[in-house]
Amino acid sequence: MKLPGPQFSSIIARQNQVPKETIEFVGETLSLGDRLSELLYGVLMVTSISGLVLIGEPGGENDLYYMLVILFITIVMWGLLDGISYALLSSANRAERESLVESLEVENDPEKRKESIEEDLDETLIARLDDESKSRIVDIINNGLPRNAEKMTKNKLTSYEKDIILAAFLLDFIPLIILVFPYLFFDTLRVAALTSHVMALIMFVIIGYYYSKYANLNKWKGAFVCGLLGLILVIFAESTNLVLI
Amino acid sequence: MTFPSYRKFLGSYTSASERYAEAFYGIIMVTGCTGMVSLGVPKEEAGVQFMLWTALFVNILWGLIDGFTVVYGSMVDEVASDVAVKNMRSGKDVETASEEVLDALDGSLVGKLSDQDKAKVVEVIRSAKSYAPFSNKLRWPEIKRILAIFSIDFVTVFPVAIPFIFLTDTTTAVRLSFLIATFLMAYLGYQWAKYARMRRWKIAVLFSSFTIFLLILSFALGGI
Repeated sequence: MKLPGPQFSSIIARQNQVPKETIEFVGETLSLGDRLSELLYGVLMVTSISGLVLIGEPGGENDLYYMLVILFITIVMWGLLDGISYALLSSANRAERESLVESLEVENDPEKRKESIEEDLDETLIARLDDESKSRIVDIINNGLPRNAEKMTKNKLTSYEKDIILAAFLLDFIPLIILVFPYLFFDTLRVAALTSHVMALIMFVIIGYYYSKYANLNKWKGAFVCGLLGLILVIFAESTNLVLI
Repeated sequence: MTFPSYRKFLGSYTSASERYAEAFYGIIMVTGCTGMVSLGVPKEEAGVQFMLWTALFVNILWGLIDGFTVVYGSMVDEVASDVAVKNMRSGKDVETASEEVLDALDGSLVGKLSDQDKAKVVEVIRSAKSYAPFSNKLRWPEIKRILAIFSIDFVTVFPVAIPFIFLTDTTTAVRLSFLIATFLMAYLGYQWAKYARMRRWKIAVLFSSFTIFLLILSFALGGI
């Protein structure tokens, strides 16, 4: 249906702009594999934390608010921790590469220098090229690496790495927004938790499906394995009386 | 498996920064889950053994999930790189594909090159005689990588869980466990920052403050 006037469509367009920008930001900052992993971690966190808190004897309305507070704090905390560790990992990798560049700079044996470059490229897509192309790229790197460049004395998080923290945090938050719904609409904590855990199980299956789809693997096998992991979590909850109605 | 051979095994299948990250996740998981359990469980029901088994279970599950997501996550990224290379070589949206290829190579020495040299690398990839697509099968090396990651998560349970093995009072055990985790996190932060050439004490304090914050949180919410 066509919208009645340009002003309405521009308002809607503006409203859609924010989520679109957020999605673009997350997409530019984290790789597809990282995005799927972050979503899975978020679902795992919400499910296991809500399960662990339920070990007690909750039941009243206050426990619902209590659970919401705990879930919110945990996800904020986890999102930050996850984001920070991601950023540090990226920063450590950068330092690792700097060490390699420095060691190459003092390496006098051209053969050893080339070997080290080849070793660095071994885990990249360049390793899948024919030998001649690989050796041409090794030569480009060998001749193109900066010489007598300023040594990295203190490493600091780059703006990209700071963006990683935010992107990981945002992705961890998505499962919370979805899985928290039952806690807002059900009267008893156990029913809400059970519904939330079933939803989490479905999310596990969906994430497993897409994981396999983008990794060119058997989609249904991936969905099954991920669902199984989620099921183990729910069975753990059942066996410790976490989500029994 | 002896300690030196275990170290060699870890060295073969994980990078140093990955090991630091996994140890970080392992400690946070034990501390977080024992803290959460202590919120909900009445002391008489919880018991130190219950805490120990919960910590073990959560870290086993987390270790497996983490191992699988690291391996499968990199498979997803490798396949995405393959698509970009294929598009670039077939002339389909070359500009975007080239950017994606360079993004995928940014962590390697290619990332240190000038824009001009990067363009040369892209050209070599585009005009290469052959390109073998990524083989995305779960073979023995991938399984070993999953096991290496899992083992780090699993091993980190024990220093933090020592109080649950030797003490009988849950409250004392949980508090002592948090204390051990705080020191471990500080040590880990210091070592990680040293490796990454960052400010060691700043990161050590930041890391230990995470567990201190978890402890305060558990207190505030009525746990421990």
